[in-house]
Amino acid sequence: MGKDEVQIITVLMGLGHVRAAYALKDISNRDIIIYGSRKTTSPKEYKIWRRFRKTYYFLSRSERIPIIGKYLLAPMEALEDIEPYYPVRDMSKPNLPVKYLNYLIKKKGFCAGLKEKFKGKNVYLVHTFYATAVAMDNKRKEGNKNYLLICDTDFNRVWVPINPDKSRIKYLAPCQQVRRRLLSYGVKEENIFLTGFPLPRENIGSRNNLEILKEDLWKRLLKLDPKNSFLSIYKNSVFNWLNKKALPRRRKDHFSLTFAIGGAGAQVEMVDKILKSLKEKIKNGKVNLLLSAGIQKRVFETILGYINSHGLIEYLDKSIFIIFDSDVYKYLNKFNKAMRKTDVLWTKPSELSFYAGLGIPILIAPPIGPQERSNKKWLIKIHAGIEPPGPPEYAHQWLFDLREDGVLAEAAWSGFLQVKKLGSYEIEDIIKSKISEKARRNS
Amino acid sequence: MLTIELVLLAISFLFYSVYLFFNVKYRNGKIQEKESVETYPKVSILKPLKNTDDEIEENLESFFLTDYPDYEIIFGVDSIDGPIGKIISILQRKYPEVLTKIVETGIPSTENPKIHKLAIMEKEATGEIYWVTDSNIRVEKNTLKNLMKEYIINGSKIVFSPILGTGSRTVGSVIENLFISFFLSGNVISEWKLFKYAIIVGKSTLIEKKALALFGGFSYFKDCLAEDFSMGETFVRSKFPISTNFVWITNINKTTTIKGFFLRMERWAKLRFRLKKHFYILEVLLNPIMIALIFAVIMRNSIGAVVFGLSVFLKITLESLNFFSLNKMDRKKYPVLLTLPFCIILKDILLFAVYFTPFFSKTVSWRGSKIKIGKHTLINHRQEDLFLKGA
Repeated sequence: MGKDEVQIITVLMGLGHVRAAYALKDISNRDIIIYGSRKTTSPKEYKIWRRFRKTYYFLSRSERIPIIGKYLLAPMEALEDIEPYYPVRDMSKPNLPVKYLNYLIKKKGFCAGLKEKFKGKNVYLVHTFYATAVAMDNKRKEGNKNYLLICDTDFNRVWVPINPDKSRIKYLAPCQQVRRRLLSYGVKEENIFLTGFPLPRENIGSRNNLEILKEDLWKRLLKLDPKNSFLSIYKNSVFNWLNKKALPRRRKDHFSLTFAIGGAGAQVEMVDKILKSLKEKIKNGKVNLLLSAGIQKRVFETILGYINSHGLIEYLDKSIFIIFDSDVYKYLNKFNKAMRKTDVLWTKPSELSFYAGLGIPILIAPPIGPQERSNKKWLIKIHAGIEPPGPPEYAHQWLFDLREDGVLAEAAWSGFLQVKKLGSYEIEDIIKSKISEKARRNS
Repeated sequence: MLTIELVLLAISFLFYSVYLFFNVKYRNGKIQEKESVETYPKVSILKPLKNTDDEIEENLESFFLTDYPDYEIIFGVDSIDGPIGKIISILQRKYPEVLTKIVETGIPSTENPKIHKLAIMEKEATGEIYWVTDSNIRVEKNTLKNLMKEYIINGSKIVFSPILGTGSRTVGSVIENLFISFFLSGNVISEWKLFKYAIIVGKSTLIEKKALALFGGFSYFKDCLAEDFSMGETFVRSKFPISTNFVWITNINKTTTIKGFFLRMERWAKLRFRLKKHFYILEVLLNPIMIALIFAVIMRNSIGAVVFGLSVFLKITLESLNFFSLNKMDRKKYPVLLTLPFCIILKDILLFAVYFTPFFSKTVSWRGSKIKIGKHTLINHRQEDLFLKGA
């Protein structure tokens, strides 16, 4: 495949879009473009992106502001709102965000730098954010080489251009609901590819054998089901899928919980409560805690502060681990490595919901925004996500009860069975086939 | 109008009285003799060097004479072949019993030049504790032991110090030393005593290696120009104990020119402005001479003139008291004594001029480079762009 002919384009708006892009790194020889930074945009356009980002980060954190927080968040919620899917109907009429994006692109030169960069270039563009894809739609002769990956299980109309009939964007859908929603927004069937969300290949292994994923899942299930509550029922199915023959005589008595703080740094206060609750369990070696701080130094330092204030600093890098790097790619690399050791992922239902496909049970932290509420519903629907039965302060009680009852193991197994895992391979195949098709035509 | 002026002046002099009180009270440091220290961990003294400062040989030699059971000195220089390299070689030959290393660091293009040096030097360091000091710092034999007492007794991960500016020969050096010993150190001590707020001055910082390593070492701070302040904020936010036992560190300034003073103050003002804008704006209140002068010009009457005269007198009195209490070296120098009142007034006029520079410029000159800074003194680029390296 002509990996030089593929360009991944993303934006830094939280970590979700970059995470998706990073999982696609193997399908291109080119460096990922994180559009909207100073390096990639003109000063005029940079101002728009900065305003976008500032608003996003402010509103993402605003829920933490007492009393007025939810009111501050309301405008963002309104703009991102997802209309109920049922009754199924035509929802192709553009809403306000679509019109505003169209105005920014046409009148304010939004994404103009990108258009200029790829003008006349014979490159397949794979976007993980709508604005860049919409801006590039029909702007080149090669307009049909514009792919957009949806990063949630449901989404606002803004991901589709003002006139879906004329659009040549090819959509990469992570799940069925996204496919259905795209159709309702007026996207042509032939422009939709159900691929799954691109999960990191380093956590999967080869596409035919999934050897890494299966091995990790096997170890995880053993740790998540100490009393065989789950395995006593599903043992045969597990053995069959994971190519195992018997349960080991001895099992480790501890497991690893990862708590992921969103890219905007929201939920950092929850770390304090979790540490307080799990303090004794950490000391007794019953649980390892991995805290994903993202790329913000302030968040990393705040977490260290919590660890210090609970007198747990001596357990750092022994039973408590912080996943942090100020370089976004290094961070994602560390995060993916940490996922291999993770037995339970506690996160708001962001794009990380799709990590259920790795056979990691998701403990659902409070969602922010309509798309995360949709993700939450989806996780619960497929039994891969669990809403914590108690507040974080009592995690030392309910988390261990969930484990003892086999609920976590069941969620891990369900995620493994239900979620499409081969997104990165599927996307590669789609583009590869287009490139081959073109080569055949040319010859 | 007069009432407003008097209120502003009262605030201003109250601050300086507090500075004077604490500077005098802690002029000999905090007494910690009751607690005996039996074992001292190994210390790596890190000396990032750039220029050949006043009496640099004597300054560096003072570290060779340190009375401490287990220490090493690591020098970080742009190039060993430069004049500093030669001075270090002389001292190494003179004190072969002291363990030393010289590290050639080169000059970085985009990051904090001092942190660039320290990040390379720490790889060579074998001590459990780092003591980072500037090239113009001179220490007593027992300075390190005294600082280490604070580390050992209170478990502080950073021990910071007030600074005594001394060695004055020129007008520029007198005013710079006055500023450092009164305003700067007064701030360091009083903020700590009254609010437990740590102001770390990079001229001397004692840091625990293990705690620093949790952040990945010095390079964690490479994107900030005010690395000392940033270190303090980081350690405080991460709830690591930091403190001072008021061990004064001597900063030798002999030949600083008025221009040199202005440029240094301009740099520091720009850093303070980018770090704590609101506090910086209020700093103008700490210039009573200029406040009184402005009001005298506005009022154009004898009362204004009298208040101005009294303000000048009072400021000179407070500064002189501080000077005589602390600066043992300079208080014996007649030229310094004779010019002291003039220098105090000149300093405040210059500081008033410096005060406005951060509002118009983001560029600072440091260690031979022109560096543009943003919020939190981030160098050249903003935080968001730092995430995108390799993008």
